Order: sequence, then structure tokens, then C-alpha cells
Amino acid sequence: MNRNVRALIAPIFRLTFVAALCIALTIMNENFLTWTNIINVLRQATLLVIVGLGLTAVILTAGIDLSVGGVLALVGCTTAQLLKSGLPIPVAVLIGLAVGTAVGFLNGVMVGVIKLPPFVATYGAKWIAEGLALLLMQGQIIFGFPSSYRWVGVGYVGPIPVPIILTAILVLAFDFFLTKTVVGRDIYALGSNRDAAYYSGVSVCKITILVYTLSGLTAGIAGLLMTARLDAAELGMGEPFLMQGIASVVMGGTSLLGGEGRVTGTVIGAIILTLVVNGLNLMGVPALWHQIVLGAVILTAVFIDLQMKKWAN
Amino acid sequence: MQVKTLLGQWRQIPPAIWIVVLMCLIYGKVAPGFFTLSNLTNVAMQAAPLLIVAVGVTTVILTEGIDLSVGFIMGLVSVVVSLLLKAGLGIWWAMLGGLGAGFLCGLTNGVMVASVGLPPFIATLGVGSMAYGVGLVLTEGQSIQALDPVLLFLTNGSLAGVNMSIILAAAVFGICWLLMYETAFGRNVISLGGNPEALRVVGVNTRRVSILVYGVSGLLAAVAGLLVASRTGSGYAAAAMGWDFDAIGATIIGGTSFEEGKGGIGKTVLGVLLISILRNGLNVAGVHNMYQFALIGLVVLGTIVLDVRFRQTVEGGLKAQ
Repeated sequence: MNRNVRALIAPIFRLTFVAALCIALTIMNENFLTWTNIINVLRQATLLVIVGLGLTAVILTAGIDLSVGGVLALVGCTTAQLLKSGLPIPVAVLIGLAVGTAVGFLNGVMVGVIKLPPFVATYGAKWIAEGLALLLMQGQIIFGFPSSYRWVGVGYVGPIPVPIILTAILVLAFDFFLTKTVVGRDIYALGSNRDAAYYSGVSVCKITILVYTLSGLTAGIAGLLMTARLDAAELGMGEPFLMQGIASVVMGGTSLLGGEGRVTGTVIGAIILTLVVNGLNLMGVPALWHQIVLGAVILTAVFIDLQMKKWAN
Repeated sequence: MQVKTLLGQWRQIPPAIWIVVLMCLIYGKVAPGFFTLSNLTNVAMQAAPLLIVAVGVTTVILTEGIDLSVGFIMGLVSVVVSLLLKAGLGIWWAMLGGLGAGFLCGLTNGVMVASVGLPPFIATLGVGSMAYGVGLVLTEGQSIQALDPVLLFLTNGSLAGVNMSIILAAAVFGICWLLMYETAFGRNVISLGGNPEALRVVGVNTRRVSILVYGVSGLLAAVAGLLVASRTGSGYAAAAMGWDFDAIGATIIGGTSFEEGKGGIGKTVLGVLLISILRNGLNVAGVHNMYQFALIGLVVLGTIVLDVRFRQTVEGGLKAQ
């Protein structure tokens, strides 16, 4: 079979899957295919997409970041506390993002310089980030932020919500960065063949630090967006994002083995996952069951990814 | 010359030991109650469940795998035991049910890794999160009381003056030691990490070995889950959140590495001691629970980093010679 045709099959399969999900959801609920609900689904997907952007970069290098949920919570809680203490919004936001970036940078150093296995380094960072968030929050929930801060999460520009616009800009920027720049190509090269990349002059160490830092940054942005939308910050806010983030990236066609995939795929993956959760809610499945379903979804998604790869070769 | 060899020998001591000594010195100064017999017994009691889980995780890591599900499995087991007790089953059946649930989760991990071919961290994270979900659904997220005298005896009781949980941990460790170093299965596990190809050539069913290793890890997590249920007198799906990190930390600090199946369950004892002393000392020194979470994570990850650096320099030194 022609290589190009083969490369098209997986994305077409994914889009068909989205369409099938939409049809199923429309049958279950006639209000599904309305403008408001579609916008709603997209807005729900934004957080997952943003977390998935940095995560995609990490996974492209055949790494993994298990700290995204913890970083999201830490950044959300830090910014919330700073806002509550009366700091101006830009300062609070910048400090929050700096915290997320710093955790990501440390992950990168642990993986790239010290050569810890990525899941050990980032899993440790997850517990530390959650521990720090616990310290900041002392078991409380913080709510009631200035409306100009909340605008990022709930505002509109014309008919389109601000978070969707923000996410779209980020996706385009990431896609450009990963596919059109030299550094982006180095990221792919590193993931597809580490040794070859090293010998052809790719700075393995720097690239590794960069992708983990980016992942910390995007998880942080998602944390800000989430606090702005919910008008609240709490310790457990990042919990779903670890599993769902990885699932979106893998379902979007980025291989856990590295070197293959694209952030546009991650967007589709995040939308699929959001639709699945939406469908579970529509079917009246209690929230406690979601954990089980999502666990099964991620295992299946990774399985299909590996099978497809085997089949393509 | 002699000074040099002495210095060389000093540098052979892994950082984990330095940190244990340092911690003991600091705690001895800051917390007067630290070096009492009753407190040291406390340390051993707290170390017991962690040692049991960590031994399982170590065996998995020896095969170049990872098990991120043990914390979830422990929670599920505590839930299963409590619910079976609540349903009127005898304690022995309830405990058997709990152990069975843990073993089953472990085997599922193994099948996902060895037969389906998923990367271990995804497989165990997925199975673990499903186990957690099952625990949540069974209890609706609530904690279930389990005040059975036999169950409570596991932490409160003692035999010949030694606390039951310590005896249990020692027994489990002994059995695992025999399993690892005196049986064909153990030899296969160790070679599986070092040289799987050779094992396959000899005709060992590596897939079965791998599945069993994850099964053993699940079973040991279940034993630790019983201890947690016994200590808290309840079953709760989120009872053992974060234990997986402690167990992995103890394994790596002890000196088992992810490459080439180096290390062993004996070394993990050191890592378990480090984490248990750290936690106990913070308690005795009166550090609030909220600070402990981040602090313990920092020390564990920091020690791992130091340890990996240490091994790199030692190995680098050996190569240079």
C-alpha cells in the first residue's frame, strides 16, 4: 500500500470515531447537536488540550510526564492564594506560571542530566507538587476571584468563548513550533532514534529539559484557566488530568515509543475523551464509575496504538 | 596510600546510608523521644507494610518493569475485606477474598504487560486506576468500618513480645527471599531483567514468569492492604494513596536499578528504613502532617538523585581504572 495512503488511515479512523460518537450522543439526547452544546463540549475539552500540548512534546521524545495533574493543581492553588492576598493579577499569574515552569524544568534536569527514568522523576515531582499544594491550601477551597481574572475562563469574544480562542492560538503555536522549526524537528529526531539524533548533533540534554519545561508551562496554563473557569481552586483539581492527559495524547496518534504524532491529533484525542465523559453523563452513569471506564479507555487506546504500529510495519 | 584506600572505601558507601545516619543524629537532637525502645519499635511497625509492598515492587523492577498500581490495590483490598466482613463472612474468608482480589489485579497487570505488550507504567496505571474505581464504586467513596478482632490483632497483637506486623513482614520477607534465591522461579526473575534472550533460548516461558512477577507484587500489596485495614480498622479506596511512590523510592534508594536487573530485595530494606525513619522522626519532632507530604517526597526524590549520581561516579571511576 502507498505510504501516504497508509499514513492517512489512522487520522480518518479517528475522525470517523468522533463522528460516530457525535451521532450516538445525538440519538441519546436531541439537544446534543446544538451550537451551545458544541461550544460547551469544546470549552470542556480546552483544559485537556492544553495539558496535552506539553505532554505531546514530552511523549514525542519517548518520555512521559506523570506530574501534569500535580503541577496543574499547584499552579492553580498558588495563583489563587496570591490573588486572595491581594497581589495584582499579572503578578499572580506570572508567579503561578513560573512555579509550573520551574517544576517542569526540574523534571527535565532529572531526566536529561541525571538520567532518572522519566516516570520515576515525574512521579516524584507529582507527589512533591501535590504536597506543596496541600501546604498552600491547608485543606481549604479558595474561591471568589476578580472578574477580570475570571474572564479568561468564562468570557466571550463575540460568540466564541475566550478559552477556546486561547487554546486555538496555543495549538497553532505548538504545531508550528514542533513541525516547522529546527528545535521542533530535533524533538522528533530525539524520539525516533536517540543515538542517531545524538550523533547528528542534536543536543539531547537541552531538548529533554526543554520539553519537560514546556509540559510544566502548559499544565500551569491549564491550572490558571481552570481556576478562572470554576472560580475556585482546590487540592484535588488536577487529579483527572494525569490519566486523561496521557489518554488524549495517545488516542490522538502520538506514539508512546516517541518520534511520531502531532498536536492536532492530541486535540482530536481530547475531544474524543470529552465526548466519552459527556456521553457517560448523558447516560446517567454515576461519576464514581468514570474512573473505571477511563482506565479501560486508556488501556484500549494504547493497545490499539501499538497494534496499528505493528500492522503498519 | 592507606589514606587513599580508606578514602576510597568511604566513598563506596552509598548516600542512602549517610542520610540515614544524618537523620538519626538530627532526630536524636531535635526529638528526645526518638531513641527510645518504644519509638524504635514504632519505626519497625510503620516499616512493616512498606517493606511488604516494596519487596513486590523490587521484584517487578528487577525485571525492568514498574508497578504504579500497588497503592490502589492496597486501598481496594482494604475495601474488599471490610465489605466481606460487613456481609457476614468469617474473617479468614474475608482476608482470603482480599488477598485474592490483590493477586487478581497483579495478574491483570502482568497480562497487560507481558501478553498484550503495553508499557508497564501505562498498564499498571490503567489497571490501578480501574481498581481504585472499583473500590470507589463498591463503597460509594465512603470509609467502611472493619473492627474484627483477628484483623486488629495484625497490628495490635504480639507474639512472644514482638508485634504481629513485624513478624508478618519478617515472614513475608523470608518467604520472598527463599522464592527469589532458592527456586528456579527466582533465578528466572533475576535473569529476566539481565538477559531475557538467554532465558528464552533455554526454553523458559518468559511471559509466564513476567505475569507471575506482577501477580506476586499484587499479592504482596494485598498483604500490606490487610495491614492498612487493620491499622485504621476500616476499608477505604484512597487509604494508601502515594504508597507506590514510597515503594519505588525505597527500591531505588536501596540500590536496585532499572537497568540490567541489578539489585535485590535485601537492598530494599535500607530504603524502607530510610523512609520509615524519616516519617517517624517528623512525627516525633512534632512536624505537622501537612508539611510531611512535600518534605518526604523531596527527601526521597533527592536521595534517588544523589544515589544515581553516586552510582554513575563509582561506575565511571571503575571504568577509568
